[in-house]
Amino acid sequence: MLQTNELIKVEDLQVFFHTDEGIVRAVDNVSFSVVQGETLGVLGESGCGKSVTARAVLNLIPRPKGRIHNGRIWLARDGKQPLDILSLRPYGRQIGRIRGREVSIVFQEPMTSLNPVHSIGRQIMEAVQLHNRVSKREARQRAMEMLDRVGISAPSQAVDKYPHEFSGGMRQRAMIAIALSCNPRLLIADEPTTALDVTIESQILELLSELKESMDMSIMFITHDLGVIGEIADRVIVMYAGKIVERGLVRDIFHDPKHPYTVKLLESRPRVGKTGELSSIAGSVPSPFELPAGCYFSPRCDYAHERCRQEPAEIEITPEHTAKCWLFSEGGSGIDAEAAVN
Amino acid sequence: MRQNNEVTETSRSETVSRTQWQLIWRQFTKHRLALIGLVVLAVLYFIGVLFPEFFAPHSPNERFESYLPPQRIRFFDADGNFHLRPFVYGWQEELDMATWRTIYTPDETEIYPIQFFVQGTPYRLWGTFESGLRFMGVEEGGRLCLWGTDNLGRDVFSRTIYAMRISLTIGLVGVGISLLLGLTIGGISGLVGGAVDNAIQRFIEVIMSIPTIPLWMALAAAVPRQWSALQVYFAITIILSFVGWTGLARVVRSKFISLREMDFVMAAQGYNASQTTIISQHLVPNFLSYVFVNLTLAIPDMILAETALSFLGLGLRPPVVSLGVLLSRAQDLRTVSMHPWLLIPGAVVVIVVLAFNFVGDGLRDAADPYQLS
Amino acid sequence: MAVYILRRLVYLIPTVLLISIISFAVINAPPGDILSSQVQELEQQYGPAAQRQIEALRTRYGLDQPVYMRYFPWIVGIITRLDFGMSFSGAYGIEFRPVVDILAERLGYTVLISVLTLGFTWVAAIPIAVYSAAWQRSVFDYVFTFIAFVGRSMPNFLLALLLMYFVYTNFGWSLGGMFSSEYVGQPWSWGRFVDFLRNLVVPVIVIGTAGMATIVRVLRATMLDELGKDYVQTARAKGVPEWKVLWTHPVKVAILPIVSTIGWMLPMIFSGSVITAIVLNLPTIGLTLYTALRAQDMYLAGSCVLVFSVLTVIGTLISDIILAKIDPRIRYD
Repeated sequence: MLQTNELIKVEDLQVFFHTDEGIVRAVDNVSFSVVQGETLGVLGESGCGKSVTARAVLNLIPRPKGRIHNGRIWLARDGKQPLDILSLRPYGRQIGRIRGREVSIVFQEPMTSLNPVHSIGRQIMEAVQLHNRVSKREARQRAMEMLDRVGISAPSQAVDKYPHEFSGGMRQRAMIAIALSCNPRLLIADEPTTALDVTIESQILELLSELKESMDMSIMFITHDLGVIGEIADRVIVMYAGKIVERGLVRDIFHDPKHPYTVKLLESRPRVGKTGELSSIAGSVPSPFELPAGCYFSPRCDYAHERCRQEPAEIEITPEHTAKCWLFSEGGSGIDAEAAVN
Repeated sequence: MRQNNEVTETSRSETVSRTQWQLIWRQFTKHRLALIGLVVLAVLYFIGVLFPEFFAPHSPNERFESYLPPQRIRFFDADGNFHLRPFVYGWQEELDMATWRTIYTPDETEIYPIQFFVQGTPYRLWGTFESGLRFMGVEEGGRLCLWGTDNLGRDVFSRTIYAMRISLTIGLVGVGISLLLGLTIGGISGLVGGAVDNAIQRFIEVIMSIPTIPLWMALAAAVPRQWSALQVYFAITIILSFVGWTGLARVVRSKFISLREMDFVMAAQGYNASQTTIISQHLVPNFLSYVFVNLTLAIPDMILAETALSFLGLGLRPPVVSLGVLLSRAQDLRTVSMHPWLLIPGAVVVIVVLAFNFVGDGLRDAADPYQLS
Repeated sequence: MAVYILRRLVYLIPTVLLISIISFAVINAPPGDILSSQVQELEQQYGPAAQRQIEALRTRYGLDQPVYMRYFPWIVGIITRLDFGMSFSGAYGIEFRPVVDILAERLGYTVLISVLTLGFTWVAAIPIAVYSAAWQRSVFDYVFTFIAFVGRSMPNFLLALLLMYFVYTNFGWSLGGMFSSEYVGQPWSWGRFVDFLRNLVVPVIVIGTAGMATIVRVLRATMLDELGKDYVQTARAKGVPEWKVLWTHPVKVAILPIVSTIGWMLPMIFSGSVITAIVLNLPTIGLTLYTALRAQDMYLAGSCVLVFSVLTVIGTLISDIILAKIDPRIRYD
């Protein structure tokens, strides 16, 4: 089940959405783990299933359209058997003890993820009082501490303010305060900086790194922004159309990308000293109802081949680095990634 | 720089372009209740507005015994024999010795088979074509009064069918006038803006804060008693729409304002599309669907209002036959408890209004799939 | 806050004036001079004996003057002396009565029934809407959505008649009026109180149903909208139990704007109460309006319209103030 230092392990996760137009395989057979103390970056375009994966970890898939069809999500527990989160009832009591206490989440939109009619303090206290036996006063104290910790000035006043009185950056700080108020072991950050402007973004990233160290937790950081990944992640998984196409240490992904999709992503990124036109990836993400056979990226891939009509296996390049592409299987030619990137 | 640093957010494959009306219709047909409502309305308008003379077994003023109870259409007689042709029983009269009232009960010896396409009381269809052809009837000597008769012995079923002509059109005409008022005043408000807009909005607020029924009642009471039925009909229609236009005017105004500012209009302007294309391709369809939905939802309110006013004796008055006039026969508990069938026209009102509401809701969902309320 | 209330009060003045003009138009709407016909009747009945009284009426209501000149004495009389004019119909005896006395007598019941109806509407609508939204597409949702549709489609008077009939056949209560015959004119007692409540149940249900159906519709849609929002997921992600998520988060957000529905609920309630009062014979202003209109007693009728509208405006004002107080998102400066 779990290796010694693994905090959470996702096995064969499948999440489907049943819409009027048909079934969308939002997440299809995804497996990965988060190790204690690391920051795992999850990279992909919008609609690739990265947010759904994040929500599945807390069993927060919107019902009745979304359904988890398969998979296990093991959570390590001190001195106890690991627990499969997906085996718990999604609205039950047991999952309630994990959410917010063991695993927390920060969403993308700070404008909408706070309740507009409750004060900031009340929204932090709600989590604190739920998971700790504390009085209202102590909870309030804790709320002010957390606000201070996430860098909100004058916490004794901020605690009684309402979300609309905060700026976007401050709201996201408040969200982080809520998420961290019960010392979780894993923080899932679902594009927490996408809606913010660049200066605020780097402040928040810095804050998260700092809090990760001081609070001794792991972070699963979901983003579509390569720059952010480079700044914060230790390891990266790259997702495309509901599947993981490549995974590796952050330097492997940046300096030695293997999957043609990752390569293309890196090419479309402007770099200092590089001249000429920026390339973008030709074609578009396939419609979830008309997925191509085999490798989903093949219609857009420069290296597409007959074999790509069948689904490739995940090939191990080094123990830390895998890619899901025929190029690296036996007899595959590989690609000159170095040349492609530069 | 930042945008370029991101993975390109690729748009979904382009949706097959269809005209907005086709899209609305496709969405609408998914709404089962709305479809049922539409069919019900079509049937009722066909029967009640176009051909009541044909479908009603009797003329509205033909008289029989007073307060005959409703008849049941039967296939099995008292001996349990099956009849392929449905039939009704006649009535037998008894005098209740305790209350000295005549009581009618089904007479199982008198069997009247229901015949279709029979010659009945002659009539003039649409006031021009003379005919006596009726959809159904029974042979001479029998009486077909499916929903019983009223105090003057008139067939409630036939009168209900005739009443639909007035009741179902009053909503349409009223909404038409409301539309005219709403479009003009709302349009001026939205297009001119500024002080004019402000004044019109204040005025609408005031009218809206006056409860409709009391205002309707007061205005309807001012209709001179000596006016003819037709004059009263139009007066009531105008009174109904005089109060009803405010909601529509608001919708029109807000639509005008929001459409002007809407992103896609801006986008079209950015692409240098001509003004007329913007208006015909974007503004008009969007706007029409919105107005259409609101109209559909306004009709039932008008029908309810006519019914209520006529029920109170302030709207249409006999000899006009409308659903409200029919219901005004059932004013008090005594009448209702003794002759509950007089309330049957009320069921027709509920069905019509319900059907309009279903259709309106279906249209609303179809026209505006991204807006929930 | 005080400034906000004050501003709203000032804002009220033109509104009320406009309403008074419309009400006055109602008074003068019937073709022919209604007061003159009353005067004529007086003459016929009492002959020269009533001459002085007739003269007084003529000068007081400015019968010889054009309509707009008659408006000013009327409105000034209301503002300065609460003088709404006289009721001329025989419905209240041969003697003419000041309109204000009749209104004062009936205002209490009118407000009582309206407030009770408002309360009933919310108390019944909120749980139905919340459960329908939370269990969208469940049997509960379908049943209540259908009932709400029927409630919206049923004419008030029909519902009143049906309920009266139902109550009569099932409980043997013969409703009508505020009290059963044995308690009319009696001093208050427990029995009288129970009887009073029993007579209130049907009107409150009848008047409230249409509004309730509308609120269920609106609130259900808002709830569905709110349930899909991120902050609900945030609450779930904190580990808050599902029922508590529902009632403390989206419900609170969705319910606050419902307070502002008083603005259209009151006109609806007054409209409904008029018809219900007539069918159930309740001594409210609605019934007064009806009898006044039938008797073409136009000062009384116009004043009823005025009172209804002013009550609506006041209700709207109160709801706006309450909303500004309880909803942190609304700024009133």
